[in-house]
Amino acid sequence: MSIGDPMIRPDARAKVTGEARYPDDLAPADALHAQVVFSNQPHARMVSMDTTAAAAVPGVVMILTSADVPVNEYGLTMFDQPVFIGLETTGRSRVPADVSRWEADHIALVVAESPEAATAGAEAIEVEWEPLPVVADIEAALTDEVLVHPEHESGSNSYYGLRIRKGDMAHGWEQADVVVEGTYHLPHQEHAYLQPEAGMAYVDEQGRVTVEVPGQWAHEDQEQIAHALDLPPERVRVIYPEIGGAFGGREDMSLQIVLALAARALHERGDSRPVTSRWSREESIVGHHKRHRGIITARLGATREGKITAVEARVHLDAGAYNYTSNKVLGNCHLAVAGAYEVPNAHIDSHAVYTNSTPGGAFRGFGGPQGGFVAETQMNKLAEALGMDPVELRRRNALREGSIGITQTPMPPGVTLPEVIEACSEAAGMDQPLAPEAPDGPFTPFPTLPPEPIAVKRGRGFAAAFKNVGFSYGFPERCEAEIRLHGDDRIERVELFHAGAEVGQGAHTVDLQMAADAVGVPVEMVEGHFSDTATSGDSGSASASRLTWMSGNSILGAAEEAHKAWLEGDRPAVGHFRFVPPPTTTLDPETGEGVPNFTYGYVAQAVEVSVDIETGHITVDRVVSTHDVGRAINRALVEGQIQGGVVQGQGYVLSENLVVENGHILNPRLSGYLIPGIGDIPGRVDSVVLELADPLGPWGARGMAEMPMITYAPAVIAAVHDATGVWFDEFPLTPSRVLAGLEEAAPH
Amino acid sequence: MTLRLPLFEYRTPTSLAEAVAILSDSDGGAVIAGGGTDLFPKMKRRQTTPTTVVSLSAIPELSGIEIDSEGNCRLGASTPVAAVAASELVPAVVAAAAAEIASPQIRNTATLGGNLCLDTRCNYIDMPELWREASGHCLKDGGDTCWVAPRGDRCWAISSTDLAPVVIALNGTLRLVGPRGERETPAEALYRNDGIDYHDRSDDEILTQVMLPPFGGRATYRKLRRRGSIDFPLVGVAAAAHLDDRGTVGSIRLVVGAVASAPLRATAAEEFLVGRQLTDEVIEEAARLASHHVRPQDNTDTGSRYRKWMTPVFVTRALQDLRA
Ligand SMILES: Cc1cc2nc3c(=O)[nH]c(=O)nc-3n(C[C@H](O)[C@H](O)[C@H](O)COP(=O)(O)OP(=O)(O)OC[C@H]3O[C@@H](n4cnc5c(N)ncnc54)[C@H](O)[C@@H]3O)c2cc1C
Repeated sequence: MSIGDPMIRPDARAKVTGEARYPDDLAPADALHAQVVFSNQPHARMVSMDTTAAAAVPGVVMILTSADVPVNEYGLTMFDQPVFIGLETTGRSRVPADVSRWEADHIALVVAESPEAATAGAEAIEVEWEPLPVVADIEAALTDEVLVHPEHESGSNSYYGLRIRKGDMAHGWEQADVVVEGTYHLPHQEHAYLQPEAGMAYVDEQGRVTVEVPGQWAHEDQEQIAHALDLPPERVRVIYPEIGGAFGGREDMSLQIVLALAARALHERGDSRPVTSRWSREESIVGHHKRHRGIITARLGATREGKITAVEARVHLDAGAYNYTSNKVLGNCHLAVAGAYEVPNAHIDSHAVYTNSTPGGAFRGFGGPQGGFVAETQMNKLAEALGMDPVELRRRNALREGSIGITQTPMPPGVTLPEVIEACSEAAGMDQPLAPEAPDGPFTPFPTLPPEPIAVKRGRGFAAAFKNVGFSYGFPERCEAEIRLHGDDRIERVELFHAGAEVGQGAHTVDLQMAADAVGVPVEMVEGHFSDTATSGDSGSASASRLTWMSGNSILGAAEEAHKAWLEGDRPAVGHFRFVPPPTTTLDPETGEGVPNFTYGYVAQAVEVSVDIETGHITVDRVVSTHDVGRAINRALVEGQIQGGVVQGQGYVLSENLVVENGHILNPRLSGYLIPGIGDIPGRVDSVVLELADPLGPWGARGMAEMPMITYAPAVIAAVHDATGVWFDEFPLTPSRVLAGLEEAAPH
Repeated sequence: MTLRLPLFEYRTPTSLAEAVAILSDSDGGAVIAGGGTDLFPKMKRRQTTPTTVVSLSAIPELSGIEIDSEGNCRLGASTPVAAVAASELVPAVVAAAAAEIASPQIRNTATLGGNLCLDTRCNYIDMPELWREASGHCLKDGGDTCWVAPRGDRCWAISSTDLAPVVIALNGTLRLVGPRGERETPAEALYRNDGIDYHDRSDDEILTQVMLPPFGGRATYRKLRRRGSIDFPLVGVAAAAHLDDRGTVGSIRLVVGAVASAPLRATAAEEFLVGRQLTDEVIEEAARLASHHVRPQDNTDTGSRYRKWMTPVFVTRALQDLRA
């Protein structure tokens, strides 16, 4: 039985020994090197561009600009971004290409014999710009004095909105004995994956433009490349090598299209050498989107008994210069901001806003952390206002089997939030007084900065949430798998073809485990062929906590088909299956009614902190992270996701402070943008894993990978409040912000 | 664009005399490298573009730690920081401070000499060349304005060595060898509170040895940092004192690092403390005396106000350590 076995990942050895080939390891010695040239202009109109001097730099082979892109536009959910900013275009793009709207807009790709020549060529490009006023942030955008996308049909920077109108607000407020409110400023977050963007492209033996890059959805990359190159998708091939982390940051294009353009142009010139490119850490941080920053104002009312009567919220997320997946992220935030509770009356308005700042986009949790932060902080403030235990308050309101959700339709079956809340509360001892001393843990945080016992205040916080598994709001959702059974009388070898991206999370390991179980053979017998659009069907992305869930269902279907073929005598017996989950819908534009999702995962966390009130340093002593995973296909990987998500949350709430001024990121390096190191992570993380089957999940499994991020920030903020009596409506809680907050609350 | 080292000649002299000769013949184009953990990143950012890099790694006499016949602890300048951190011959406070430097990888490569000769740091100078060009070169970078304090006429780059405050607190002596021979100087005298001209040392003088006299008192080093795993000091306080049986301070040296372009001796606080017991009130007054003239600038990622607040807190914690 391979399901449930915490087996060692087949890729572990190669990854720890350095044998594994990441995108920057692929290029043969004769490969050409390409350098992307950023505009460095948050908002400016191009007046002229001259590449003559650059083309004359020794070693420069060719320079691609907007004139070389057949269809100069791309985007995952809307085509609002030019491949290159430039004056000459084919006229087939819907977005004007002569304006740079983002400092990392691309203006050219310089292909050269060496990285040095490519850099020298890039520096020799001469561009004249007419500066335009920079729409620096949400506040500036909302005035609509300057439009980032004047061509957009909305006629406003606030280009996309969602509403919820449920029940009767006047009645809701009337019934409320207590009302809490707040305005919350949510920060950006950088993915900071281990491996910056890199890739290689060439034309393969069958004439396909082939790109080997890290990504999260090979077939979507293929489609966007094909669109820009004006090729049928089957003339484009995308292969994923090993991928050094993604977290949503590789959902959108970086080098994919420009490398494909270069490979095709070289091929047309009769040059068959592959072309490779990579971004430095600075280019990576400047050049890809971030978790959205946002401003959310919320009110929450409840009766003295703690029953929620009304929720009101106004959400603004900074989409930056291009949509990326902002409309979809907004959708999730829109749902999350009401909390995982029964809410009889609700009034929610959510907007995505264009600015000339760094684009917001996919990042683990996908709007959930922003909405969830507000929902849970409001709940914790409500508990305080009511004088009620925060766990008890949640017990009284939690969504349960049969609850009507915020979009006025029943929750998909399998709602286990009440069980998750109980299990977390019990494991964390929430009904016991908090111990004065931090518990022992394997990691001793701040070994070199021992907090002074007299200056330390301990506190504890709690938060719970839900998160959709799979694509939402009517977005087409499917996943394909193919299984081939080889042998004569009995199965001797099994091949699995699957496109699902292994971004470090262990997707291919669980694919093999699930295929083995579905076919009924030991896992060693299964050979995986992964992530090549030439050999596998569309799997959808590694995102939305969906991959295990969707892959598993597709693998189950493929195994069944293969068995049928086997019985019919086919050798090899081939089973191909395309799994399609229950449909979802968009929301009614006026009321927000609809069925946004087909299933959810549930999480609760309890966090203990120590706050050094003299220095403002916060140490997280213990985290109890509780998840209903339905069925742990591989327990070690589940715990890896929990620990990784908690550490990523630690950076989000405590230290990661992206400084963006006037459209420029001022600290695009890891010396100034502080992700947690081993000395900064929580002292211990207790993973509590429940296995309450999802009725639709393969083997009962549920998605879980985003969930640890969603509750972490509000749980820490509540714990800090418990320790100090101060609510922080803005984070990261850098020591200086903490001290300033304590000082404001109790001036010396 | 990935930052790459510029071209340079790499020399590995095997004797001190040869190293001195290369340096003095180079007309200022050569620089000394210990482990290079500070130097090479600066070269990648083109803050300096030497024609020759002179590694001290192959000169045997520069490496090692020993106690001489008079009980002095003598440390060769090329001794890796990791070896200092692991040494049982050095005073415990020196090992502890060394263990707080950077990361394990950097400590394995970095040297004691490089740490004591560390260039001053600042948000404006420690940036890639393109960035510095775009923002305008600062004073330390050959420009005419300090972007941290544009109205002043000095450079405020910070002394960020963790070991210098400790060596000064322990009254260490440094040996330097140059074309004009050898000299010894109190560690304290090496440092100048000037971000550009931060050393009283000519470029062709090599720091060869650190000598710590026997010390029977109590000492501590307290480092304020943002990250537990890897971080420069934001404030570093070293204190070394002799206390009598009743806890009265007989003598004390108190040094505050990372708040100016040099480690600062807190002499007013030292004078106040002598003859007093380390009560809470006495510590509070000493912390005030040690901090009130400290003016950290806004040139780290935490801002100046926070470091100003933290100086008395860390002086207090250091003095509390001595009491314990
Ligand atoms: C990420 C990072 C984190 C860091 N964190 C810290 C920290 O926490 N604390 C800290 O103190 N430092 C830190 N450093 C700075 C540096 O790594 C250390 O100070 C280290 O000890 C320097 O030693 P080195 O031998 O590598 O110096 P080098 O880079 O070799 O030299 C530094 C300077 O000293 C000069 N020099 C070197 N040896 C001699 C000598 N014998 N005589 C005369 N001049 C000499 C060089 O010319 C150069 O100007 C950090 C550096 C990095 C990159």
